[in-house]
Amino acid sequence: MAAPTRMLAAVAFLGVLLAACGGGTTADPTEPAAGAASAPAPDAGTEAAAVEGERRILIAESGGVSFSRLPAFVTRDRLNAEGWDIDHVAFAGEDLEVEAVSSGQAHLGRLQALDALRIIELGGDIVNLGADRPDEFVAIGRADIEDCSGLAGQRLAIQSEGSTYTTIFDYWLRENCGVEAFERLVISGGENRVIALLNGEIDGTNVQMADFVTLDQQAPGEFQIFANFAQEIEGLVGGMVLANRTWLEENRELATQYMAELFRDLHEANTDPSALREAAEAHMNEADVESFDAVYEVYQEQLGGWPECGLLDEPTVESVIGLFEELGMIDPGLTPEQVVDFAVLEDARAATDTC
Amino acid sequence: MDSRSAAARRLRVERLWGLVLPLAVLLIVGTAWQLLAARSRSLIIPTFLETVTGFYELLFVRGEIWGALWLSNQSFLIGFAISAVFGLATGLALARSPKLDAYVDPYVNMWLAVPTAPLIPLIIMALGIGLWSRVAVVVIFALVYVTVNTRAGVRAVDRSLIEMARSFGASEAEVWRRVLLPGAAPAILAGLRLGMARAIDGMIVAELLLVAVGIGNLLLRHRSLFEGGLMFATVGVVVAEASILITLMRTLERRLTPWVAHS
Repeated sequence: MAAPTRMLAAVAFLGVLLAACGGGTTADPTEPAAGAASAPAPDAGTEAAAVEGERRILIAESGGVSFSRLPAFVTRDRLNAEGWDIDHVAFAGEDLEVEAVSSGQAHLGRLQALDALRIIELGGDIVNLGADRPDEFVAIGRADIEDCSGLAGQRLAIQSEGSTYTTIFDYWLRENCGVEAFERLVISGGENRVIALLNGEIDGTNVQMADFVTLDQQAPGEFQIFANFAQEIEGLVGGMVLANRTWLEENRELATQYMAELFRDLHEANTDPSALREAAEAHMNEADVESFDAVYEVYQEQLGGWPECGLLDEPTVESVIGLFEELGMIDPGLTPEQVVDFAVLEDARAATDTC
Repeated sequence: MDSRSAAARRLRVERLWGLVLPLAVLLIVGTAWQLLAARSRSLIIPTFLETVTGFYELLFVRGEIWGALWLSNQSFLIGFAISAVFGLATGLALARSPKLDAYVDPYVNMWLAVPTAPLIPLIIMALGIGLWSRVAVVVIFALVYVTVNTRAGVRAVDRSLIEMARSFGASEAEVWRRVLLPGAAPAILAGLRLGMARAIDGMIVAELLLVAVGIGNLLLRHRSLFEGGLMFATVGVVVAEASILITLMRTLERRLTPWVAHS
């Protein structure tokens, strides 16, 4: 067979293989949970109700175990000890995580606001069930830069071109600091951006608050927070739990039960960090565990802790949609009902005595 | 006359198949891809038509691909050049010195297997986030393949030819020039070709994991915006570049080693 034909045959095979896979996940294929639970949601403070049928949930994750995600691991470990079957599957990127949830290979996932809106706009089979993480991103830079207008012309690093907090970072630089021009570097991973900052390769970036606390411990006083986006930008919410719509329709009780238990652990996280610390010791590295107390204090005092009851209501969601429409990141037309399943969210709140 | 016209007819038919068959394969694959991808409703796998549209938009509408290629290929060219020079030198030294090879071989084997992602923070700390850190990743990918193939090529040269050369009074330099290098040339050139392919891999990996510039930046952007057609088209451009370079390398191999039966 001539060389061009061999090459085309190879491309053909690759194309068919990729198309047949129908997605880019690295997770093992898993059947969705069978049947819908029929028992009512539990009373507040009691153990997880005996939800009939299988209590199996596969949760897609990306970005590793970060401080703000610890309550989700507390929930998983606690419920698994009570007979649930909750698995977290790690993906190499948010797009793969989203593909897994949208295609039904995973039941739940976690995304930032803009990413979730974008996927719903593209027709992804997902819906949000509530926020479970604070809006934790901050803009940081060298301490010798007097104010944020001094970031003009500096070397600033971002996570990726299309991410929620790159969009917010750009917006904040333009609107609050009058900065239009700067040298833009794309460095994936907050820890890599922190290293670049420590080495003097960049002058500023946006990172999670926990990364800044760690940075400040390594280089006290050398860097500063220019902006806490939670306080500066109206209409922003933190990370959200999203569900595959088709799975949700068949497993509403199970999803409601899970969210109620998650809200219980989010409340615990804000009042007693001991379970959170155990989760940190089990899932994070030594350096992160050492800085746990400092990070916890900052998250409580400066970010208001975790959203105990999912945070979202219609006005809040309209505000989020409006913000990203104004920034031109999504087209007009999305409604809160398309974005959030308020019925599950309300039922989950009703099932806890702290909401 | 009959046999000549039959031969001419056969040649015409072969040429026709040479054109028709690839087109037919493309049509079948394209149709299957289009149908399967459309049915899967994937957010990240584009359909065939979306990919073709992506190619057009990338090459003729947006135009940013050319600047991205220029930026990315800087690390590729420098990194591959370093890998070729040092890989050849190291491979030749290891082949001629069994003692040195015994010391170095375990590290060569480790290098073949090392995953790059965990090394990224180390590379940033050592070399920063500029061009040289990306060059380092390219070298990590490519150098060991050039070394291993060069070493294997020299070792494979028939010992009796070396002994014969020495028995005729050849010096070490003459043994290298007249026996070892010509004998090892096919393997060395194959090693350079493999190293080149790995260098292109390294070029992209550096830009995906380290600092997103050039092609890596385009890939990450299209990926984060769920622009599957443009992402696949960008990958296609890299594949096309790799194919062209490897074809050029094969042509060089044929010219430099005409005595070898190349397929």
